[in-house]
Amino acid sequence: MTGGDALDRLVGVAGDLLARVDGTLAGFGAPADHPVWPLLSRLRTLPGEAVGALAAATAAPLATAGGVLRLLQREYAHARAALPAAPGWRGAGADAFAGQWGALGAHLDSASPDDLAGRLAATTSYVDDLAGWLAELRAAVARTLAVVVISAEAVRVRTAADPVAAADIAACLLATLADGWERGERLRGRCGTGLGELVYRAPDPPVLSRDAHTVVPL
Amino acid sequence: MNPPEGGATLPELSAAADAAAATLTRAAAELDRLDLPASAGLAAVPGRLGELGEALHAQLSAAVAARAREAAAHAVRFADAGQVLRVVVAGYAETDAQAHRRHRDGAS
Repeated sequence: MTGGDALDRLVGVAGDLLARVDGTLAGFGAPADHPVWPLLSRLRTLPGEAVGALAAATAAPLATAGGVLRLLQREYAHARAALPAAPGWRGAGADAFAGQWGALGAHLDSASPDDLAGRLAATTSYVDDLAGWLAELRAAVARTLAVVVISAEAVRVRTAADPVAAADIAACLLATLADGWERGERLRGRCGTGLGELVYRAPDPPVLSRDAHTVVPL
Repeated sequence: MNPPEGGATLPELSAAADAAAATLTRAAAELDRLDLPASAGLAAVPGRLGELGEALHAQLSAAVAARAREAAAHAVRFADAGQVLRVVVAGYAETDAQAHRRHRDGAS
């Protein structure tokens, strides 16, 4: 089999087992003191349906979006570099223009988190973190799946619909999903900063006297 | 009145402002078109993971929409600056032409 990641390759093989685990849990439950209960309560999903849906979610669109954002970062840097410095004019009008011109360039890119390029970089970083987290979650679930699919519990579920064995498998998978969920929640909290909309702060408008002169080279 | 000290000319500044405006306008369009399918489908996962996927998607969509608005708004500012500079250039050119005509008519 070619293409995809480990979860893509495993989920087809494990599909029947996952359906049996979900069915056995739903039909027969689990011992009252089994560790699967708090995990079920926490994630509010059966393991098979969660793993199946996770297998359909890939980080590829996020990687594509990250590439677009990186390209725009380079274009912002080029645009900023192409802006001439405030010209060597003299006079009150020149000073006012230099202030406005400098503010326009600084808002575009001044090597600060609080300019357009900085916000774009923060957004790119967020997308990269999301893609990395999702890829790692898929890899972790695949590792767990690789273990449970060949386990003795899997045999008991397939041959005898053993509720304890089904609960054991469910607990393994849900524990992996819960760990990924916790890391995702931390990512959600950490990446919320630096993503808000930036407000342009224009310099104070110039106050020009009637006899002010500005000398400008054309 | 102080003499000019070189640096960019008005037409050069105007062209630079227009180029920056064009870059930012293209960026805003790219950001508007950016394909962000529900955080890569994670929102379809049932339970808490799906809720997290929806929240992450909302966070990311809001951030990208903010980047698009920022780019579009700054494109307008640069375009306005370019327009003002062109008006100034035209005004100076007309003043020069009038002075030239007065000089010529006075000399004849």
